[in-house]
Formats: sequence, structure tokens, C-alpha cells
Amino acid sequence: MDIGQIFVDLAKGSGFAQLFGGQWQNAVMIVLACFFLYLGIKKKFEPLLLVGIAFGMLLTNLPVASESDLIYHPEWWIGEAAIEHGVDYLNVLQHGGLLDILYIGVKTGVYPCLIFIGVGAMTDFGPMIANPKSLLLGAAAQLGIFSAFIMAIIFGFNPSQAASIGIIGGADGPTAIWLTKSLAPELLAAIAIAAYSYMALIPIIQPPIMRLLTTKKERSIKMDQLREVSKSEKIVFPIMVTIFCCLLLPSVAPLLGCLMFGNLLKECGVTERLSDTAQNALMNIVTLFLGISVGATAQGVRFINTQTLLIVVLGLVAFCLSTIGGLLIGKLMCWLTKGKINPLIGAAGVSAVPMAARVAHSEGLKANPSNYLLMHAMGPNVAGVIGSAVAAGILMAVFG
Amino acid sequence: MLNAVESVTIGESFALAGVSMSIIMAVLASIMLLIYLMSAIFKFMEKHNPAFKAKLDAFFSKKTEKTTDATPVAEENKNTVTARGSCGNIVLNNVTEREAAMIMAIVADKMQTPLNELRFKSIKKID
Repeated sequence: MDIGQIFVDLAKGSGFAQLFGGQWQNAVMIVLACFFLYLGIKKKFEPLLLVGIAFGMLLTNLPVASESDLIYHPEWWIGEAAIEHGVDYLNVLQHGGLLDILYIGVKTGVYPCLIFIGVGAMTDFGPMIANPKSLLLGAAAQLGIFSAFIMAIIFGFNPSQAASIGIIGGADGPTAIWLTKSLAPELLAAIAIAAYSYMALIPIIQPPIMRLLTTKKERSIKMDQLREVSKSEKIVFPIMVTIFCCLLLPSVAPLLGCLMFGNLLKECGVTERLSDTAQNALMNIVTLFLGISVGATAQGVRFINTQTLLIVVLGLVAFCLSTIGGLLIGKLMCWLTKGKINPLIGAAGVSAVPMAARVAHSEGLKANPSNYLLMHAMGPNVAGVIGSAVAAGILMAVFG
Repeated sequence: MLNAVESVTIGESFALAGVSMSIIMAVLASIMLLIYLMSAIFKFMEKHNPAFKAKLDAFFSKKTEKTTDATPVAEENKNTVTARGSCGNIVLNNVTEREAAMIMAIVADKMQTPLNELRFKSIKKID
């Protein structure tokens, strides 16, 4: 028995040997995963999702000795066979690793829709019902989606990929994942990470644009107190919007239907237990599964390329242009109403709830310490969620 | 069902973006009009059919009473009701749900902490 040879074989079979023997991309991804963990834990950048995504990245990039040890098989989901003949779910269930099983929820679009039920259960549409004009601000803030789409086409992405990149501008993680898993699953990791990172960076990205496009006088505008919205209106609203939007654009039904269902659970007053579950337990479980399985798609060999870098840049441009779109319509409405609307609330039309509304509120406070814009900004903010869901529905109908 | 678009020229991408933005504007503007219509109908019903308003008030106050009965703290003070928060119930003492929501939002904003990570036990109006 050659003891030395045993040690050599053990060393050759270890993950370290594979890591430093050709799979340098995985090593880079492990470092990147640790960086995202740092951002999530220390800097609190969307920690609920970023920690899960980063840990999924870590798991999927650690080398294993044999094929049977893999916990995620990307070729089953985005390989040529999967694209041509569809995913072989029987094979996934029989031979898949843990993350393959969890990824079924992403691939089928179940997780984003379940998250939307939770988001709906946590959302108060009252400020938007009290000031319906805020819906226009929510629509204007989708400008970045289509500007980024055009730029992605110019840079040579195919239409489905361009649509998926554009949706980052909607500032809505679940919507971005829902659209990308169907149109460009190969870009899912890059798009999800870009979307959630920029959502976390809203307090850094938006204020300079707000100050650049508005005067101090405009930022100081105090808005009239919103009217009280009756319970009946809050109950009828989700039912009415679901019927109207799903009849008009059936492709928005999964996202908008789930959002409104969650909101109805909250508002109807007879399903408190379900609403509580949707807001807490369900939301937490799905967030857990979604984060780790999306992170698993970020395998070094596929992730580290110029395409990812372009997606990150285009995502940032999309975010900025969405903010600009909301602000410009906000300024227009300010002018039309003779100074009754503070244009800052337009920037809250990017849907990241409630971060964007809080940023608009704090910028208003800086300009005028007695200016409380939070409730006014919540209107465009929740309208932005509807707007980005409609935008995703349109892109799905055209490219899906 | 639309046929999936396989390729798009730069010119077509501009047209597609314009059409899509117009559709989004139209859909959200329609929802805006629907909300105005819904609000007008409710206002009209409440104004011209007081029985309808009384019925609605009774329906919702019934639910509030039900919640109040289950809370011993609320029994001590008739002005105290409970409101459902993201982390359990909140005792509201001489405070409306709307005022409580605003206070909670301001506290969350000042603390830079998401609302669902804060736990409010009670909010009391001090005269």
C-alpha cells in the first residue's frame, strides 16, 4: 500500500484541486458570493433576498467530486435539450439535487406569484385610491424599462433578452424574475442580482437625480391631506382591477391577479389568518426558496462574461431613466395643477415599495422640514407595482 | 395569443417601446377613471341612500366590536380598539387606524427600519 499515493489521490479529488486546476471562474464567483453576503449582512442591502442569492451562488460554485453530488444542474434548465424539447421534470424529480427541486418554483413562475400575494397583503392601496392621478406617475416611471430595452437591442441582445434586461427598470424583483425565467432563463442570475442590488441602492441612486431635475421650491411643495378612503372602496378596488386588467391583458393575470388577491385578503376583513400567513409565513418561505434557487443559477462559467457586465450597466440606466420619467410627469402635473403636486412623488413611481416612497419623503423633508410626503408618495409607489406588472405582461405577450 | 417576436430591428424597438408605453399609460389611466367612477358611485349611494351607508357602517363596526371583545385591555376603555399590524395586534387608545398608520410609518422612516420588522404594542393619544 502506497500511503503517499493515497494522499495524492485525496488531494486530486478535493474541491481545492478542482478550484485551482482550471475552474477559476468558480473561485471568482465564491469571492463574489462572499462580497454579496457582506453587502446583505453588513450593509443591509435587501438582506432578505441578497443573503439567499449569495448563499445559492456559493453552493453552486463549490466543486464536487462527481455528477451525482451536484445540487443544481443548469444544463437541465437552460441547455439545448431543455430549450428545444422543454424541461424534463420527471428527470429533475428523480435525479435532481436540492436546488434543482427548489428551482421548479422559479421555472414555473410559482414563487414570484406567491410573493405577489404577500406583497398585496402588505400593501395599502388607500393613498392611491384617494389620489387616483398618482397612477399616471406610476405609468411614467416605467420609461426606463423600454429605454433599456432599446439600448439592449442596440448592443446586440436578442428581443427576449432585451425585454428581460429592460424589466430591471421596473424596480420590482419578483416581476423581473417572472419575466426572465420565461424569456431569457440564461440571464436570470444576472438580472435578479442587478434588480435587487439596484432596489437596495435606491437611496443612493435617486436623490441626485431628484435634486438635478427639481428646484428647491418644487421640492418644498406641501400637498393637501388625502381624503379618507372607505373600507368598501378598498374591498371593491382589487376585484375591479383584477377583472378589468385580466380581461384587457390576460398575460398580466398571474402577477396582477396574485397581487390583488393578497390585497383582498387584507382588506375584506374576514380572512385575517390568511392575510397574516401571506404577509409573514408564506412570504418568508418563498423568499427563502427564491433567493437560494436564483443564486444557484449564477455558475461561474456562465456568469462571468461581458454580457453580465452590460446587464449591470443597462440595469442602472433603466433605473435612472425610470426615476427621470416619474419626475418629469410629476413636474408636468405640478405645472398643470398650479403647484399642488410635489414632483418628488413622481420618483416614487418606480415600484420598489416602500423604499422609493421613503426617499421621496426624505428629500421633501430636507427641502422643507415640515413637509411630510410619505403618504402622498405611497400612491405612485403602489401604482408603480401595477405599472411594472402591466409592462411585464405586455412584454410576455409580445415575446413569450 | 400573439405570435412570439423573434427578431427586432432598432427602428422597430423604438416603435414597440412607444406602443408599449402608450398601452401602460392607457391601462393605468383606465384604472384611474374606474377609481373615480367607483368613488362617485359610493358617494352617490351614501348621499341618496342613507340606509346603504348605515348598513356598511354596521357591517364594519360589527367586525371591530368582535376584535375588541377578544382583547381584555380594550374592555377597560371604550375608546380602545385593536388594529391588526404585521406583527400581532396593536392596541389603539383614542387613535384612529389612519392616525396609527401614519405614526407607525413615520417611526419606521425615522428609524430606517422596515415597518414589518417593528412591533408596536399600543398607541395612545395623550391629551
